[in-house]
Amino acid sequence: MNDSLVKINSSFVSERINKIRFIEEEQQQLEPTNFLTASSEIKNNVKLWKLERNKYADEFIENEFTPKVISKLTLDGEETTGLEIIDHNNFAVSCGSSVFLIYINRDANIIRQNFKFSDIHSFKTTGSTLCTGISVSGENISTIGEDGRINILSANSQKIVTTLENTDSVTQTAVCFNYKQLITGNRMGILKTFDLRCTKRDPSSVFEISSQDQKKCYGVTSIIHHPTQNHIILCGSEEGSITVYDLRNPSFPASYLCSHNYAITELMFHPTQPDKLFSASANGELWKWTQNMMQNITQDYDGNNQVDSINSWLNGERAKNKISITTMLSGLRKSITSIDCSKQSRLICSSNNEAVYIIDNSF
Amino acid sequence: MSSNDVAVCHIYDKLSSKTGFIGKFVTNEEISLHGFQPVFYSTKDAPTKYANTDEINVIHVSENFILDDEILRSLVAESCNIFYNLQSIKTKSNDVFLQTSRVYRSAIRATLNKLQEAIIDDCGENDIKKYESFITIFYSIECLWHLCEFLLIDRSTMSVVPNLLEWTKFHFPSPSQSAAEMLINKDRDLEFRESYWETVRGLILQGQIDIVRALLRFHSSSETMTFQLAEKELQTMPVFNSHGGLSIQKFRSQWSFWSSALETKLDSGLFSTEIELENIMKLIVGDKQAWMQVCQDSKCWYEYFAGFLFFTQPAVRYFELGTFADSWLGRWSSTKGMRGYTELKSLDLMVLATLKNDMAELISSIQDMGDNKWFVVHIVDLLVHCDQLRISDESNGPSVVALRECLIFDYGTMLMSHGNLWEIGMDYLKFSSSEGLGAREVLLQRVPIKNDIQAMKIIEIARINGITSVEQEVCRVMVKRSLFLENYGNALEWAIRSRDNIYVTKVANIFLNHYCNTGKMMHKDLLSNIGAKMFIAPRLLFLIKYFDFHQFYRARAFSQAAELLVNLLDSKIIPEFFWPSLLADTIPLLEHNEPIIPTKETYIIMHHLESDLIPYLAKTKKERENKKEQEGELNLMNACSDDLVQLLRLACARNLSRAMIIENTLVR
Repeated sequence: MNDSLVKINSSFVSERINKIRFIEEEQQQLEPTNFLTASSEIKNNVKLWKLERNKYADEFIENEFTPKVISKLTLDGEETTGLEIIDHNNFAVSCGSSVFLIYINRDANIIRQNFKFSDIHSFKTTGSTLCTGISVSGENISTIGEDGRINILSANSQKIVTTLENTDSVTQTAVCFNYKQLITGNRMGILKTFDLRCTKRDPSSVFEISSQDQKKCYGVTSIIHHPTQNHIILCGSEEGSITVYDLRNPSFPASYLCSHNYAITELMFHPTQPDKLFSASANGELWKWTQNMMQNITQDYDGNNQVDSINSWLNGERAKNKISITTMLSGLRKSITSIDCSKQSRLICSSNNEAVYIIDNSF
Repeated sequence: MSSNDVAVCHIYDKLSSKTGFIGKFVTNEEISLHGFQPVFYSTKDAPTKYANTDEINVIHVSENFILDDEILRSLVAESCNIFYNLQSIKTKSNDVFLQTSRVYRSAIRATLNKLQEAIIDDCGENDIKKYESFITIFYSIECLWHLCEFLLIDRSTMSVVPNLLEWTKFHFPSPSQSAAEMLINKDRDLEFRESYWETVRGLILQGQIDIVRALLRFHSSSETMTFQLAEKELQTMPVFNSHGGLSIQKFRSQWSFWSSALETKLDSGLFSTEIELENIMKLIVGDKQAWMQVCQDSKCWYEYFAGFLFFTQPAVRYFELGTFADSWLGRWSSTKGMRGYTELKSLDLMVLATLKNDMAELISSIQDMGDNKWFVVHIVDLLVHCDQLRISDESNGPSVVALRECLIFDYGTMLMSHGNLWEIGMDYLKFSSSEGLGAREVLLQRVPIKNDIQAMKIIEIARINGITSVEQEVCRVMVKRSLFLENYGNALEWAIRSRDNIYVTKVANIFLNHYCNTGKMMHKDLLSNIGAKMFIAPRLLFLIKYFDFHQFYRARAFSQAAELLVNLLDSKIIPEFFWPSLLADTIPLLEHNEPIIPTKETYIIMHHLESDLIPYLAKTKKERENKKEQEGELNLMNACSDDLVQLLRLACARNLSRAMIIENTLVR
């Protein structure tokens, strides 16, 4: 494990996975070997997998690991849309119009349903509708749906804390929840921020993501905030570009980065190394974006070293020189549906070609 | 899986049991059946006596679809990947094809492994039965693929016998396994085991001479003269090697010299003390009696065929194999007491067809393996790629390229029509023919959409594959779905995505009508963020501009509001039904304390009042009179039409007088 070789394991899992997440080990320095997936084929399956060492492979070739299902749960509902880890033993899955709280028994390696928030998204006319995404902050879960309603759920008390009605006329497609601030994006590319401390239920700001062709609709597909500087927001779009906002001044985008040729499916910062970002796209590319730390020190005319205090994501045009891109995976042809990154250096991603890829020593 | 197995499907239908029934192919896999009385030239042209007596059932019969099984799916997905990579390779070398073939086989073997594990883990009886039948199918596929691999795909080796032996060894592994076990345990009393001589003979028949020698050394009497002699003979046995530099003629003379010497020794009874050993030596020199004995014990015809070739025709080429296979089969079936090939299993026949390079026979029989044509598609594709598929009667039949395209087309459409595998089917259709590309477009539009997320996914895939028409079609479907759900915000967004003027107009009209009826705008957050997308359709442009007017008015920016309103009146994009509402909006501006609208603009308002609103009101009045009884919901503005006109005229006159006075007053 100590060598710096990038190792890629791939294995076919017989289903198209919608969301994939690692379960961090209790000993933080170990790479996680268990992960969770949510898929929707004929049934909605939530599976707990364990990476097992492949007894046929030798040390230096690919496919060192094969994932094996150790526990499986079938949920009812239309489709699984989100899976997020809450803490060591709990995670939440959105499926159909409901959100399930699921408990992992780490000793017995079993997952079981703990609680179900039923039908928290619905239309007046036809009843329940799809919950399109969830985001977790602490023990609170925020949900968005086709009906434009936002729910804040509490995992501990198993209650709906807040409900915001009619926040959007168009289906919300992405959500980012961070302490008391909530950002949603819809299919038309409109972002809205909500301050939950406020009693007022209107969005505190509304802004639009950038795109090459203003006459076309490009939905927001993923919203994340910088792990250490929470006011920096990155939004992936259906167009394949990343728009960066500084929430202290959200009226115009701080940077606009054309990247993938097709829709971005998920963005993810490395949890412990904030200078690394991963992006996955619908045509099967996985990129790593690295901030070049060295270039942050520039010399002014007097020859004094000046530390560039602005985060390079916010640097607009100049951001391009300060961020380098590496391709981690390409040519899968089918969409990478979800990625996750461990606290060390293991990456996992699921693709619509029904395979799961595990990348070791990715940085 | 014997060739005599006929799939039987029982259908219970009352009507058909009296009349008989008729069937037609709907697709390649599906037959539609219904009750039908035969009609002859002499039949009277009148309803039959069964007419209107029983209910008529139309029954669809199709082959079981097995590829969406949880275990087989991974094979389908993986083979699709391999298939795709094969289509997109640039350097067409033998190595690449061999590599591809091996990857395919490893995928099959992995699947076989998973099936075995599932049988061990699972206790459901149905599943076990199902998985066992899958194992039979995919084992046969692997067996044939392996054969095709070294006979057809791998062109680097000239001699086929070593590969045939290898293949036999793989499919009849018991001698090697028991030998390995014996050698690991290293008992001295090996020969007391029942299986000792059986193993040795099995190994000889698979040409594994070195292991035989090792086993013989463990025999308790291995020090005796007979064993020593056998050891020496086996050691000096010439082995043909196509890379050995020895020409075939030279090798043959060497072989005949060695074997005749051995024969003489056998005749002189040198081995007679050890009967088992003598038998083995007889096999090596090709003694007819000994081989017949062996045939009696064999499970299928090709079990010892490779061994026989090894000792009699070690340098045989592929094109000669057919003749030897036929003669061996004749001998084998006569010892078994069989007549002809009728009692052979289908796998046996397929192996024979492959050895004889009878591709037409092979392809026609592998289509009936019950694997939903998985095998035939992939092997034909691979063979066409490496240009090894020769169907003997090329001039009459379709060319192999057309065959490949047709197979891929069928397989692709089948996958696309089965629920979750449509994305994989897309990949196959891409490489079939122009027809396939068309089918892909048509079928993609028919993939069921349950929600927004699935719709977005299909749009994305259509974009990646460059099928633009699908995007529009999906958006239209979603507009209708949203309208049905009365989710007008989403409907408008989907309509904008579809870029279809008719749909956008339809949805925008709903917004405008709603405003006319209630005086409230729907989905203000959406309308305020449409931006440059409003130029897609004139009606949408009007909606957004009118919404802007509202915003100005609410913000009490009256002069801007008035300017926009007058511009709108003159814009020629106003829907007819909106005239009353729009002109009513001018009244508060005309009557405002401060004069806002100058004379010229007032004239414009008056012009539209007379030339647009009055004819419209007259028209609606007439319509209403025509259908007075069925009065439904009334447009709020239409209800008070006469008052509205009066009010407007008055307001215009008053404003005009004010404006004229102001404009004509000279300010000093």
